[in-house]
Amino acid sequence: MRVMSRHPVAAAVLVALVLASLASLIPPYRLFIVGQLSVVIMVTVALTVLMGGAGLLSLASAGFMAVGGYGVIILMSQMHLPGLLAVAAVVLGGAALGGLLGFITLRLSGFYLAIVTLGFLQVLLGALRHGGTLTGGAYGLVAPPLAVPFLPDVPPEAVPLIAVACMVLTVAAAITTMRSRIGRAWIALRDNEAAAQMQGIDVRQMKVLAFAFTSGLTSLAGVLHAFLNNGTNPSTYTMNLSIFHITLVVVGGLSGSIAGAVAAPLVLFFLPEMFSALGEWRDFFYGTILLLTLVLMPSGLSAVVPWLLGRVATLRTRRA
Amino acid sequence: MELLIGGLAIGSVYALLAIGVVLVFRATGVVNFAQGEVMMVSAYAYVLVSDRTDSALLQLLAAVLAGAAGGLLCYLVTSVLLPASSRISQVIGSISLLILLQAGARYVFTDDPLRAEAWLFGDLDVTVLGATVAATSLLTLGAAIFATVALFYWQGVTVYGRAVRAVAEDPWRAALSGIHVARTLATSWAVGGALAGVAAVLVSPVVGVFPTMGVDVIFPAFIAAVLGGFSSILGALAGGLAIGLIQTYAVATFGGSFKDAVMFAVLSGVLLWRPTGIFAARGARRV
Repeated sequence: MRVMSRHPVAAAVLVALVLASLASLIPPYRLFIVGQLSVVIMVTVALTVLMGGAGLLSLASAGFMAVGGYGVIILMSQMHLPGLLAVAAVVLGGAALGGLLGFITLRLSGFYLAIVTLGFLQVLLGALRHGGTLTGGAYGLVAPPLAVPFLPDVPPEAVPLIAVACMVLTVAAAITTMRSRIGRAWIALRDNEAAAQMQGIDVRQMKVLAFAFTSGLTSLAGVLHAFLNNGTNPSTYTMNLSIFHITLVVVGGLSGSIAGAVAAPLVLFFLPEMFSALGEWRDFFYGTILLLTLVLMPSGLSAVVPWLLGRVATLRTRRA
Repeated sequence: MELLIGGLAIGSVYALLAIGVVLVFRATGVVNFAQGEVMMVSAYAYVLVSDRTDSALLQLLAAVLAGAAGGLLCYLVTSVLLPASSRISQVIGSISLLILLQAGARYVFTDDPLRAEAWLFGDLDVTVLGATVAATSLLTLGAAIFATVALFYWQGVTVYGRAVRAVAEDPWRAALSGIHVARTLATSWAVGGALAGVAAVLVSPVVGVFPTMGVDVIFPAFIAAVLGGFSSILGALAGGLAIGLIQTYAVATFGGSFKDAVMFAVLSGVLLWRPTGIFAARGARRV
C-alpha cells in the first residue's frame, strides 16, 4: 500500500487498466450501462470537487457535457482532426471556457456563478438548436468512428472500456488534487473565504481554477457520453440533467468526499432501473431524493462510506 | 413607441420577479431559484379561477394568494427545514423545489400550454402619444411601479417594514429588541411570492401557461437583479425595465434566436464592468 501511494500515477493507471479489462468480461448490453455509469460518476466527481471542495454551485454541468460531445464530433467530422487531438482540444477548450465564466463571475459571491451558468446553459442550448448544419439543429450530430494511435478504428464495444478507464483516472486525479495544496486551499475558502484570504490564498485564482478543472473533466465526460450514445442530441443537455447531477453530488455528500461521489451514482443510477414504470415521475423522484437528502442526511453518503470501509477494515484485521 | 411600451411591459414582469428575489435575498441571503416556479403555480391558479368566475378581483386574489403560498413553501423548505448555517444547501433546496414544482405541474396539467385571458382590460387597446398599445402593457408597467412604491412605503415607513430590515441586518440583535424573527422572514418570502403572483397574472395572457414557463423568465429576472446590485428594490425595477427594453430591441434587430445571447452578453458586461450593479456605490463588504 505504501509503495502505491508513493507512485499515485502508476497506481491509478494500473487500477484503470485492471478495471477496464475486468469490464470487458461483462456482456455487451450491460457493458453499455457500465459505460453510462462511468460517465455519470465522472461528472459527479468533478461537480463534487466544485461544490463540496470549493463550495461553488454550477448549473452548467449539462452544458459542459454538450461542449465536450458536440465539440469532439465537430472537430473530428467537420475539421478532420485526429481523435486524440480532438479530445485533448475539447477538454482544454472546456476548461478554458469554465475558467472564463469563472473569471467573469467569481469576484462576487459564489451564487453569481450559479446564475451565470444558468444563463450559459440557455444560450448554449439555443445555439445548439439553431446552429444549422454545424450542430445538426434539433436532431443533433452522429458520432464518427473513433480512432486512436495503434488502433485505427476502435470497435464500439471498446468505448465503455475506455469510459471505465477514464473514470478511474478522473477519480484518481480528483483524490490527488483534493489532497494537494490546491485542494486544501479550496476547502479553506469554502469554509471561510476571508480567513482563507488572510492565510495568503489567492481566493479568486483558486475559484477560477476549481471551475476550470471541473469544466474540463465534465467536457471529457461529455466526449465519452457522445461516443457511447453514438452521437449528440440537444434535448439531452437540459437543466434537468444538471439538477440530476447536483442531486448525485448532494447524495454523495457536500463535504468534498470523492468516496461519496463514486457511491451516489452507484446507488441512484440503478434505482430507476428497478422502477422501470417511473417514467414521467423521474424528475419528481430525483427532486424528492434531493430535498430529503438535504434535510435528513446533510452529509450524504460520504458519512456512510468511510464508516462502512472502516467496518470492513476492522473485520479484516480481526480475521487476520 | 409600440416597441418601447412592449419592452417596458415585459421588463415590468422581470422587475416584479427580480424584486421578489431581491427582497428575499436581502432578508435571508438565499437566492431563490424557484421564484419562476412560484410564478408558474400562480399562473395555473389564475387560469383555473378565471375559468370559473369573471370577477377580476377574485382572479387577482387567487394568483396573489397562490404566489404567497408558494413563497411560504419556499421559506419552509429553505429556511425552516434546512439550516441557515449552510447557504449552499439552502440554495440547492430552492433548486429542488424548482424541479419538484415543475414535475408536479407537468404531471397534473401536462406539457400543453393553457390559454389565459388578459386580466381586467381584455384585448382593449388605448392610444398613447399617437401609438396604439395594449392596455395590459400599461397595466403591467403600472403594477411594477406601484409595487416598488408600496414596498418602499412598507420597508421605509411602517414599523413592520423596518423590522424586516432590522432582521436582514442582524437577526440576533433584532430578536433581542423584540422582533419575531421567523415571522418577519416568512413575511418577506410571502411578499416575494405574492409579487410573483402579480407577475403571473400579467404575463400568462402573453405567453400562455405551461410547466416550464418559470425557467424561461428566471434568467432575465436574475440579470435584472444583478443590474440593480442584487440588494436594491429600486435597482431591480430599473434593471428589469432595462432588460425588457434591451431584449425587445435585440429581438427586433437581430431576430429571436439571439435573445439569450444578447442577455448573456449584457450580464457578462455588467459583471466585468460594475460587479456590484450599475447603481451601487462601492461599499464595504460584510465578512
